[in-house]
Amino acid sequence: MDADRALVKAAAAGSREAFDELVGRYQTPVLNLARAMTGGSADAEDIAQDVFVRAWRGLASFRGESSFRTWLYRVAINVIQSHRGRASRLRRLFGAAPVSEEAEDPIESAADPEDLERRVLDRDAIDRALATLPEDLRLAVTLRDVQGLDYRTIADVTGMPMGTVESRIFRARQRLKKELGRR
Amino acid sequence: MKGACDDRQGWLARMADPAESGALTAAERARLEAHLDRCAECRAALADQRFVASALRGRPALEPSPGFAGQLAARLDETSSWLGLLDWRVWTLRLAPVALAIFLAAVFSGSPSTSTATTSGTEITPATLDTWTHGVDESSSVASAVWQDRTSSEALIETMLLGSSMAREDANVR
Repeated sequence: MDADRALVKAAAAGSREAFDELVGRYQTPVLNLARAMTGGSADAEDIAQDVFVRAWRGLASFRGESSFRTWLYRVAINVIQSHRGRASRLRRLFGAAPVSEEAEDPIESAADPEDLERRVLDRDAIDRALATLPEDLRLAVTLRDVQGLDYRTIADVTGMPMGTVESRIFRARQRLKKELGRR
Repeated sequence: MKGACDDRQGWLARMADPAESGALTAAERARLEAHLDRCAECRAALADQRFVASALRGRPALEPSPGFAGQLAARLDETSSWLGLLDWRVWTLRLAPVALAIFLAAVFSGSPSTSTATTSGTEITPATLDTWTHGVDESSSVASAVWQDRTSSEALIETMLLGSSMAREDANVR
């Protein structure tokens, strides 16, 4: 049972309130997917917004054959891949990554400043380690271990066979162990 | 990892996930555990899998900045207005009164009470029209039939069908 079904139906009929509710449910996972898949890019918020704008535009074409979450992840992966393609072309054109402001980075729930710093460092270290992986491995392990999707949903979202999902997660973790083990 | 160990990669990946290890059948689990008892390499790989999975699960989530919702709402508003302009259903509804007005104007003001029309001082008659279109003067031609005030619909259809078949025959002859 898709817990989002009623909201999706209302949003597809044009209800912005319903869509805002869906945004509220998924903005953090989508933002973190964008961030993890772009190596901790400061553009992650822009990318996440692009995902929701694209979803709003395409909601009328959502047939409900998968869950809304699966569909939204597919939209997000497409948007992230487009962004990476553009960033890659810019790097080729100008020889370096475009400079962008460091994004505001609120982990405001952390009361202790040292704890806050450690958590940001942890996240940044993980995102940098993820950035060393080839995109196919990074996507599989990010969806599993950062986003918490189960293997079946990952196969549905990415269109990969189950065996490929398992193999990529395994290989991604083996490579990440070398990166994270150096800390 | 070689040979038989490679075949167990998927199982090791799942075994490292508390939520996914239950996806292995009892038989698969037993075979994997038997293999782990005698394979130090796979035991090390499983430990690495568990370490990384745990580290990634513990990655602190990045929360959206305070301005995120407002910026997104502005972009969605902008998108909604453009989508409205591009939606053919909206245009159909908006233009319906205009279409109705044109239709009514045509019905009430365009009664064909005269059987001739004039363009640049030249009188246009059914015969003239047929001469332009077919180069022949036929009293039963399509234009003549259409031009008549009291042509029944059946007669009009018949004439049009006959006219088109005649035109095809003309073309075949040529």
